[in-house]
Amino acid sequence: MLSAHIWDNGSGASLSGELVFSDHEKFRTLLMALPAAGVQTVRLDLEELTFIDSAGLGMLLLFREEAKKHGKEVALCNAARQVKRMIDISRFDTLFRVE
Amino acid sequence: MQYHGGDASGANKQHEKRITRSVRFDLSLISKCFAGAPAIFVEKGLIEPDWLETFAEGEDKHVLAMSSRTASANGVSRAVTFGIGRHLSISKDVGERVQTALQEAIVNAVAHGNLALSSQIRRDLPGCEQFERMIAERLKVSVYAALPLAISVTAGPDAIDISVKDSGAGYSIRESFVTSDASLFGRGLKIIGAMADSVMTRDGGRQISMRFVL
Repeated sequence: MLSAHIWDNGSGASLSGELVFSDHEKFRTLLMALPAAGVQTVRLDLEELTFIDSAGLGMLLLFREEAKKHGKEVALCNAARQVKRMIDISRFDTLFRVE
Repeated sequence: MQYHGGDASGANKQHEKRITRSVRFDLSLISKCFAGAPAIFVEKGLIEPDWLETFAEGEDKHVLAMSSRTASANGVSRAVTFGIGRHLSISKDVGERVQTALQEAIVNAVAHGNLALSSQIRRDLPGCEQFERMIAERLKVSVYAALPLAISVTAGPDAIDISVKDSGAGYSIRESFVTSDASLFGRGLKIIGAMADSVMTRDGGRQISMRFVL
């Protein structure tokens, strides 16, 4: 199950647990809470995210689209193991800043 | 748990002998099904599909047949992978690939197979939300929610073969792939292809078979 901790300065959030098909609602809350005004790059720290599926990748893309509407870019940070593998397979480095 | 069989005859007898009907079919039990001796586990109350016997052929196959509603629960792919890991020693890499591919195969089988929903509406946030609502609504309607879906696992010395079969109308593989990197949907089969060592679809797309070399 997904847990999201939005950083106090509004510049990003840390995700933990799993980001899968059934997490749309939780992810929507996160999507609506970010990005904050004055932040050019919104960061999602994925270090503690242990698993993602194709629907979860779709949610990251929705997040990117929403950020784009506000003229901001999204950075995916610290992805490891399965999550990194999924980001690589999906060529997300061409769509996001990958840190 | 009850073991059924005894008075059946011929091939059917062999099939019946291996069947276990379970009262509860939660994630813990799903995991145990794949950890023990090969057998056919059928969720209690499931209307057994006519394809189950053929799907379950093979002495060393673990088979789990359940409803769309049960398969839609979060964590089925993890429970199956955990069960396989208890049955035989697999590396973290193989476990990760199995769980990832299974997750895609099960979600596809439930949403596009048994619930007969197309991803075409998932083009934006409202579309994704609508898709999610449609899934929830169909899972309340027994004509969709009770439809069977089965997972089989055959663990050999060199490879694990996993198949997922649904009761839907099938699909055309040409229409099932992502069209651009930024597309919000259509990535599932590509991911399965990247995770498994080989993939085959059968029965007009109702069954996907994946091999993972150990």
